[in-house]
Amino acid sequence: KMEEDKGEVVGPVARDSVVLPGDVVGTLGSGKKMKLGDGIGQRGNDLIALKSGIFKIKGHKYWIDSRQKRYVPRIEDLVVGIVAETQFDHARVDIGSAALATLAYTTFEGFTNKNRPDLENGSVVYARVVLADKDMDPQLSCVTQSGKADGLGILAGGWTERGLSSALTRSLLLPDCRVLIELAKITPFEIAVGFNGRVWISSPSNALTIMIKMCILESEYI
Amino acid sequence: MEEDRVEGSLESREDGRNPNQLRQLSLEEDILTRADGSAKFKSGKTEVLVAVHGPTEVKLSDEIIERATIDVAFQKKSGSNDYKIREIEKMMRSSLESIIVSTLHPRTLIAVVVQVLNDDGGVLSAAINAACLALLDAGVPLKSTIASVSCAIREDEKGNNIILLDPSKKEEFNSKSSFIFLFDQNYENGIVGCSTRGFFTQDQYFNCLKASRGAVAKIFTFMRLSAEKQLA
Repeated sequence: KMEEDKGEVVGPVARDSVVLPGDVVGTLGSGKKMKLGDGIGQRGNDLIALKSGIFKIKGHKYWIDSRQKRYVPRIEDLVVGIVAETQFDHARVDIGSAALATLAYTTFEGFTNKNRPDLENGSVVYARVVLADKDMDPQLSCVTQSGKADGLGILAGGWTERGLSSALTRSLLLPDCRVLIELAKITPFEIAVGFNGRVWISSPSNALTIMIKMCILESEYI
Repeated sequence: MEEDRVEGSLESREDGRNPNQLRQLSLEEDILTRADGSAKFKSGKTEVLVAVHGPTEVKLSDEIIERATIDVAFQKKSGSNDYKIREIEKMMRSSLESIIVSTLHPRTLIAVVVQVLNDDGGVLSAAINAACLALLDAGVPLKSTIASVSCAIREDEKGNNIILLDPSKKEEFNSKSSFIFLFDQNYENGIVGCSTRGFFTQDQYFNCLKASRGAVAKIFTFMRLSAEKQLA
C-alpha cells in the first residue's frame, strides 16, 4: 500500500514538498476519499495550505507538518496541565491554549465523594483532551477510554518545562527517540510529554533534572 | 501625453540601482524566544522586527464571538506615537484581517507587534512582509501569504516622471507621489490593498502598479526559498 502512495502528486504540489499558505494542494470532487488534517483548508473546490510546512499524505489523510509554539487543543491529545483554580467539582487547568481547560474530578480513577483528587493551585496533571472545539473551553479527563488512569493524573514533584515547539514534542513521542534512549543509559528518570509543548521531568536529583531538560531542548536542532 | 519610463533612466539612483530594482532583501525567523512567532525583514538599510502572540486570551471587551480579534501595535524607531501611526496600524490590521483565517480561533486575540529598527524608506512594506513571515512562524492559519512593495514617482529636471521601485527615505522625501501595494499569492489578478500619498494621474498609478507587480514576484520567491531552506 505504501508503494502506490510513492511520488503521488495530488495537485500542483507534490507530497513532502514545502508549502506556503495559499498553495493549492489538491482538488475536491475527484471521487477520492480524503481526510483533511492540520493546516489544510478549502477555497471553493480547491484544497489550500493554511500554514507553512511540509505537505504530507498518508493513505487518504492529508495534512501539513508544521512547527508551532502555541498550542491549539485537539481531541485525544495528552497534555501536561497546571491547575490555575480549584472549584467544588472541577479544576480549571492551564494547558497553554487561549482558554483555561476544565478538569472534572469525576474523571479521576476511583473518584468518590470521600476520595477526591488532591489538587491545588500549581498542581501538575497529565490529562487527555476530551473536548476541543473552537467555540468552547477545552475539557480534560484523567482516565483513558477504558476508565483506568494508565499514567494520567497528578504528577508529583519533578519539574515542568514549557515552551517546546510542536516539532520537538512530536520527536520526543517517537518510539525510537534518540535523546531519551541515550539519557536512559545515564540515569533513571520519569517523563511525561504533553502535546501542548510541555514536558514534566522527575529524576533522582535536581542537577540531573536540569541536565535532562537541557538535553531535550538542545535536541531539537541536532 | 507624457510616457512614464519604467526602465533605464539616464540618471542612476544614489545607490547605483536601476529605477525598477529592489534593494537587497534579507529575512530571519524565530528570533524572539518569548513570542509565538517572530521575523525580521530587511530591505537595504530599512529593518523591521515583528512579533506575533496568539491565539491567546482576549479581553472581554475586545472579544468577538465568531472570530479572532487581531491587534496591531506599531512602534517607530524613535519618537512618540501619533495619529500617523494609528493610520499605519489600521492599515496593517485590515490587511492582516483579510488573510488570517480568524474564524478558526473565535474569542481569542492575535497580537502583532511591530518594531522599526531602522527607517531608510519603505518601512510599511517591510513591516507587512515581516508581519506575514512572523504569522507563518507562529503557525497562525492564513488564506495566503502576502507581500508588499513600495514605489515613488520623481520628476526630473526635464519634467519626465520616473518611477522608482523600493525608494529610500531620501527618494521618498523628494518624490511627487508614493505608493505601497499589497499582493497575495494571486498577484497577477489583483491587489489586497494599497496606500498612496501625493498627486498622480491614473496612468501613473497603473504604471506603478505594473512595476510593483513585477517586483513582488521576487519577494514571494524569496519567502518560498527561505521556507524551503528552513523546513526541508
